[in-house]
Amino acid sequence: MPQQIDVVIDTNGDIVVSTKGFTGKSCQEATAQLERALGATTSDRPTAEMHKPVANVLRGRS
Amino acid sequence: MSHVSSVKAYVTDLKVCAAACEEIGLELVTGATSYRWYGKWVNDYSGGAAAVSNGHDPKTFGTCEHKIRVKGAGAHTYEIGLVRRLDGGPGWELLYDNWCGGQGLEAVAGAGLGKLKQTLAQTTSIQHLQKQGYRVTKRVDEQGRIHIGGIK
Repeated sequence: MPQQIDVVIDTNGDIVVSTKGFTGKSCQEATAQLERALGATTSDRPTAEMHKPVANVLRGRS
Repeated sequence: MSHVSSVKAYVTDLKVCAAACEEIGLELVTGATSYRWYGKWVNDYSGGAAAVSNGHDPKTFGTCEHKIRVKGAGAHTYEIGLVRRLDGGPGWELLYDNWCGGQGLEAVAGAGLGKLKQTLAQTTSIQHLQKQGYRVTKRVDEQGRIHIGGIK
């Protein structure tokens, strides 16, 4: 079975990384480096759940 | 075993950041110590997306280690500051003043800098997966989400 890594990036820049076809914990090892390159992992679980976007704006929107 | 991870986007590689900026009409200026914003914190916003709500001291607003600007922008268009991550992790956070769309900044970088973050994540993912020997595909769905697939 081929090993597959999928990255979905929405229009807010929120990122979900998922894997298929890996055995044991090798899937987490396979994506750890990618996730570090992308930023910081906020959750790691078997089902997708988007995190709250943080825009880091300095002031309010007019 | 398969898993799903949510990832918060940061800038971790300046070369990748420069390439992503170039793709959408922005320009990374390395070594810049200040970025353009209103210039004075007026304490008018403390929502979840506010930098001050995420631990950034307003006294540091306008200071940075690098900045991103719109190519060919006028003197009033705000800029994006790259500041060290507050969580101590590697790389930089993106800070900017979104008043009136950052005076034109969001027209290029996207609302909430979404377009910049999306392009940054796309460039990072493709480069990383190709280096790891994956065959990479890309598609954009009806909602504008970018799907990067790597198979080997």
